[in-house]
Amino acid sequence: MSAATKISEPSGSPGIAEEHVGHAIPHHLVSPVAQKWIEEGKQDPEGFWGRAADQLPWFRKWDKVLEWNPPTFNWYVGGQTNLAYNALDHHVKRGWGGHTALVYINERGERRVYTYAHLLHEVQQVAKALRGMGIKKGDRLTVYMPTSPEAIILMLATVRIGAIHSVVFAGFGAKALGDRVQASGSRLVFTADVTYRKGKDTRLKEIVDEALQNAGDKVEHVIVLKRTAGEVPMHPGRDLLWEQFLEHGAGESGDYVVMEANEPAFILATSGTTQHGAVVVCPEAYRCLVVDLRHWMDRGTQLHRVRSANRRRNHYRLRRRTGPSDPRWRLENADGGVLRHRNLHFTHRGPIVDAVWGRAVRRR
Amino acid sequence: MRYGEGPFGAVDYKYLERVFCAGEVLNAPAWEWLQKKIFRNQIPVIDHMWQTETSGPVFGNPYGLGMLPIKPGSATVPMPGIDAGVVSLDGTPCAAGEKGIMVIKRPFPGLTAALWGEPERYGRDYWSIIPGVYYTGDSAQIDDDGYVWFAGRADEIIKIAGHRIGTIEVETALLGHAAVAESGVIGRPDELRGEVISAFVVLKQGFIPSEKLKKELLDQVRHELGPVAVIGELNFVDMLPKTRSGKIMRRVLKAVTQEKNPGDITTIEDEGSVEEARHAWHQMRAALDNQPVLRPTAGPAKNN
Repeated sequence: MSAATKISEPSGSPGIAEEHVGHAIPHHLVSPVAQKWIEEGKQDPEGFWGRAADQLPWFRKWDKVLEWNPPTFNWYVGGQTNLAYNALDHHVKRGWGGHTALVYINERGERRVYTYAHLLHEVQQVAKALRGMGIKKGDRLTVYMPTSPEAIILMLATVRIGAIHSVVFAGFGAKALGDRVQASGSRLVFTADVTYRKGKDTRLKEIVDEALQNAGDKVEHVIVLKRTAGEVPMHPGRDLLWEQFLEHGAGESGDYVVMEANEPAFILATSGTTQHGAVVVCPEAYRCLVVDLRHWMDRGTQLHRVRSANRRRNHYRLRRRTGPSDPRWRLENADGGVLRHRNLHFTHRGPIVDAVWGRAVRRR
Repeated sequence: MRYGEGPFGAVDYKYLERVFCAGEVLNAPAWEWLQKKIFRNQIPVIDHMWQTETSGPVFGNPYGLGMLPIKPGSATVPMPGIDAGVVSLDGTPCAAGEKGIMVIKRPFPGLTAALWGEPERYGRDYWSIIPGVYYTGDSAQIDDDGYVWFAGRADEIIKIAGHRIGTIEVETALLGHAAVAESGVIGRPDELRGEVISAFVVLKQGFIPSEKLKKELLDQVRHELGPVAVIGELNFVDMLPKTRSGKIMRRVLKAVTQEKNPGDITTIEDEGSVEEARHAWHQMRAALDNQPVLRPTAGPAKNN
C-alpha cells in the first residue's frame, strides 16, 4: 500500500462510520436504491439522463438526448424550456402560488418571506424593467450585489427574458470585478451601496466606479440598490437607483421567452484559486438537470419522509454568498422547495447572528 | 477547530438533518471533530466535491437516494450518471489505491461545454491534457469499495525524490495531532530531493509553539506518511490565507517560501480575504525572519 493510502484509513472513527472502518464495506450497508441508480447511470447514461430530464417541465421535448462532438457536446437537443418558468410559473400554475418560496434573513435581523406568486410578480416587474432598458435575449449584465432577494429576483428576471447574467461575488476587488465585466461584455452592472459583512458595512458602489474606469467601455448603466440612508456617489446619466430602474418597465412585457436547451442561461467566472480564471457558459437545460444531482444528494431519505410525514417540502439553506453555485435553481425542483437564504457570516458572532444561528438549528 | 466546542455547547440540533461540507477536502480529523464534538453524532456530516465547471456535485454521498457509509476523508462515490475514474498522466487507468488524476469520461448535463469568448481554450484546457477525457485537475485515488479520496490539486502535488504526495495528505497528517487547528502545505524546491514540504500550522487555542511541539508534528507526519514526507520547514502562524469560501490559497504560501510578494492576489480573490492573506503573509514572513529555519531531524536535507 502506498503511503497515501495509509493515511486514508480513518483512525478509530466513531458513531455512524464505526461499522466499516478500515475494511471493505459490508454489502448490507450499501443502500439498494443508491446502488440501483448508480448502476442505471453506468449501463445506459443517455437513457438515465433522459429519464432525469423527463421529470422537469418542458415546452417541447428534445429530439436527441446527447449530441457529442468532442470536445464539446449538446444535451437535450431541440428541447425548449426556460429556467425562470420552471422555477416559478410552473409552481404557480399547479396551485402552489401561496406557498413559501424564499425566506431571507440577514445579519442585521432583517427578515423577508416571498411566496411563489409574489416572487413571480417581482420577477416580472424586473423583467419588464430590463426590457425597458433595451436588454434583449443574448445581452449580458453583471450582478455585483449582496446576497439579497433583489439579486435573486434579478437573476431570475434575466434568464426569463433570455439575457445572460454574470454574477460576481460582492467581495471581489475592483480589478477582479473589472476583468469580469470586460470579459462578459456587460451592458448593465447591478450593485448596492453596501454589503453587510461581519457586523460592518462594506461599500460596493465605489468599487464598481473604480472597476469601470478601466473596464467600462461597454457598460451603459449602473443600477444601485440603496440599502442605507447614507450618501452614494452617482454618475449623472449613467447611474440609476433600483426604483428608477423599475420605472423603465412601464408598458413592457414581463413574460418569459422560450429557450432552446443549449442556449446560454448565464455565464460564470471560475473561483480564482487557480492563476488563470475561465468564464464558463451554463446552458439553459444544464442547470435544470443539476438540480437533479443536488436532489439525489440532498433530498430527504425515505426514513426522513416517515419522520416528518407532514413536512411537505424540502427546505434549502443557502450559503451566505451569491456566487457560482447559487442554489436558487432549486426552486424549480419538482417538489417546489423553499429557499432559506441567510446572509450571515458565522465566524462573526454578535447578538443577531447568535439569534439567527439559534433559529437556524431550532426551526425550519 | 481552532475555537473549540464552546460556542456550540448549548445549541440544540433537533431540526438539523444533515450537514454538507464544501470548499476544501473535509480531512478525517476535521470530520471527526464536526461529527463527534459539534454534532455529537446526532446527524451525518458529509463531504462532497464539485467545480464551477460541473455546476453541481459530482462526487458525494447520495444521501437523497440512500446514505452510504461515511469514510472520513473520502468524498464518497461518483454521483449516479457520472462516469469518473482515476488515470495516470498518459491515460492508463490506475489500480485501486493508486494515486492519479481524477477524470470524467463522458459529458453529463451540468458539465460546461464551452468557455465564454475562448472557444478553442475549452478543448485545450479540459479535454486534451489527458486526451479524450475531462481533466478535473485533482489528484485522487479510488479504493476497493469505489470510494474517492482527493489528495490535492494535481499541480500542487509535492514531488519528493520521485514520490508524489498530495497537499491534502500532509495537511491531514498534521491535523491528526491534538494541537493542530489548521494546516496548509506546499512543495518548496530542494536541490537534493527536487522538492520538500513547507508547512504552515495554526494551533488550537491553549497550545503554544515550541521546538518540542515542532518535533512532535514532524514525527506525526513521518509516522503517517513514512520517511519520504520530508518537511523542509514548519512554521507556526496565527492564520492561513484563504478565500472566503474557505479554500487555502497555497500559492500565497508558495510566494512566502520563495520570498516573493504574492502580487496579483487582489485580482483574483475578494478584498476581505486579500487583507487577511496579506496579514498572514507578513506575519509568516516576520516569523520566518525571527526564528531559525528548522532542519529535518533525519536525513541529509540540503536547503537553499
